Amino acid sequence: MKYPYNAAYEPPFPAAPVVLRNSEEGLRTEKVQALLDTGSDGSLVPIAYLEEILAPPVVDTHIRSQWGEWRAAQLFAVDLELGSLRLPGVFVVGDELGSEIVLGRNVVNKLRVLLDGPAGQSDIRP
Amino acid sequence: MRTNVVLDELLVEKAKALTGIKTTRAVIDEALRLLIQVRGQGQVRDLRGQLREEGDLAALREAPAAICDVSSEGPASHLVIEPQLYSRVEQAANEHKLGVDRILTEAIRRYLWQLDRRKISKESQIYRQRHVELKTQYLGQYIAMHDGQVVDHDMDVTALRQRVRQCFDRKPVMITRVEEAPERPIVRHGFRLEAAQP
Repeated sequence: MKYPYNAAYEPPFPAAPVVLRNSEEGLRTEKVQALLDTGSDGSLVPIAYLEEILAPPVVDTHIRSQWGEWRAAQLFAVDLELGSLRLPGVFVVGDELGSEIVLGRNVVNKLRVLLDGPAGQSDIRP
Repeated sequence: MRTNVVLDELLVEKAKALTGIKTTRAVIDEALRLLIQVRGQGQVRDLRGQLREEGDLAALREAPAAICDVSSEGPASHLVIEPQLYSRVEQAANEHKLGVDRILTEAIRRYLWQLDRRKISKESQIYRQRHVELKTQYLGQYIAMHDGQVVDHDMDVTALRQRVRQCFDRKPVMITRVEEAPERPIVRHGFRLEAAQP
């Protein structure tokens, strides 16, 4: 599955459309764009999306930037759909401030991802 | 009253596992209570719609509290709501062209979700307090914690979550991997370039 980079960022950012689901409640988000970020240990999802699907909270955690700034957060379990790929029970950080979905290495490392920078697109496979 | 009955042993054991009730007699008592409660709801369901048709709801709004049937499908449930709050809900329903039942159901769902979040925070706090002790037993494993107690553990988080769902249904249960430190922060490397302010 090939997805164009998000050119709203400078330089453009590898991105892919995802759907978040809470299968137990039968709830899902619309298709929303997620950034692929190998620099992030985990994945971040704005809290509004998690509230929309009533994603079950799992545990409290902290998120930290590489310069040491940190803040408290909570992890939630979601089923993640990326094209035809389905990743059940992914733990994501509920982001109280940000507005972007970021797929970090806990997701990216489960996939084969070719970042074709010159073509401005990523190729994602299971 | 003493009565001899033949019970389905598997059913009794499943009920004990799900409820945490230890004796067979207590399980049967609880089952009977639930049966009466459920059938009682059936009688309430038969009343659905009658309150509004008979104008009772309007009268109740003048009273200290209002009764509202919040269920449009399935078993009926009745809520007692402060008249002023009910009035606000009605205003919102008109403004957003939504049913009162939908607004209330959605509000309750979200409130329960917030309660679940609080419960998980509380469990997380207990986990941090008990970390040294838990580390000696579960290091490297995922544990499930409910009401401050480890209720299950596994190396495989997916298998653990499935079992927890089977036993605890939708109750909030904390799940975490026991590591050397009580908590491993999630780090986001990298930075954003932003245009300098003039």
